Amino acid sequence: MNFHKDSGDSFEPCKHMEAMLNRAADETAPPAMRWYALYHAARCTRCGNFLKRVTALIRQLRDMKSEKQPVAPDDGLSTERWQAIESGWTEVEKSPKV
Amino acid sequence: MSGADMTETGQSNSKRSMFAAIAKQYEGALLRTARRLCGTDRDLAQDIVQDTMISAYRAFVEDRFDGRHPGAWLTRILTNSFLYAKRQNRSDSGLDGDMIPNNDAAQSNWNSKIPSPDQWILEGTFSEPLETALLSLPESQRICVLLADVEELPYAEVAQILDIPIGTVRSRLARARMQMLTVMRDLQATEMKS
Repeated sequence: MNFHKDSGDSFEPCKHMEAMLNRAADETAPPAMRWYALYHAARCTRCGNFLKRVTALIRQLRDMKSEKQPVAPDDGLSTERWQAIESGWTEVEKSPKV
Repeated sequence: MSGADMTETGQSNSKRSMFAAIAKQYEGALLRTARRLCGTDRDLAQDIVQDTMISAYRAFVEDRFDGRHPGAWLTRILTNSFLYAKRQNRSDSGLDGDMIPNNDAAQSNWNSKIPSPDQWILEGTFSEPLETALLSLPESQRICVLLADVEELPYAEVAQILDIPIGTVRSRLARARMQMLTVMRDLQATEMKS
């Protein structure tokens, strides 16, 4: 098995490892795959850098989840939009149930 | 008005006020997700949130909402509204397609489609490198990231919503994450130079 031993912060992973590293990072890898990905990443500089970065990226994305963020004052629908929505609801109430 | 009609009207009002409370609670969250889906097309984002609120109310009235995880439920409807709107050719973000640049010419073309950080700040919506990286993705990948990584829906559910195989969800996510890491690194390098 070949391991990259670059110095620096290159994060282009070994081609055959990319999918496994992604699954290790987002916690969807089965145990054996996860073990193999971590084993490889611990010995390969590029894959190690990639795993570290992609794990941090996924964490940041999960923190973006809209429900976790406060609503800004202008972060809403206009009055006209709400009026259109209310009209739509009225139409729904009038329409026969499926 | 008969007694039966009055009961029905009462139930309808009660359902409406219950749903209105949910809608108000998730209004901001849905709009943010819609903007991430639609890029700079703010009108389309508002359109799909409006469609979502009405479709969701129909489902609510017909007892097709089980009361659990309203945020995830509304996000699914929002995504379907977005996909429907796209099919109706209501949007042209200019970022469509599933191609990742693999040569310099393509890379240059791709970079030209990414608004500069200044542009995002001027737009007043997206100022973070992460948001910029997300918006640099082709739409097909951006939807996968929003559903799987941001909203944390299981891959199987993402595959079902988008009507694609689960392997395609995984490969789109892998390509999207690599592109986002590259964009964020480039933004950081540009910032350090300036």
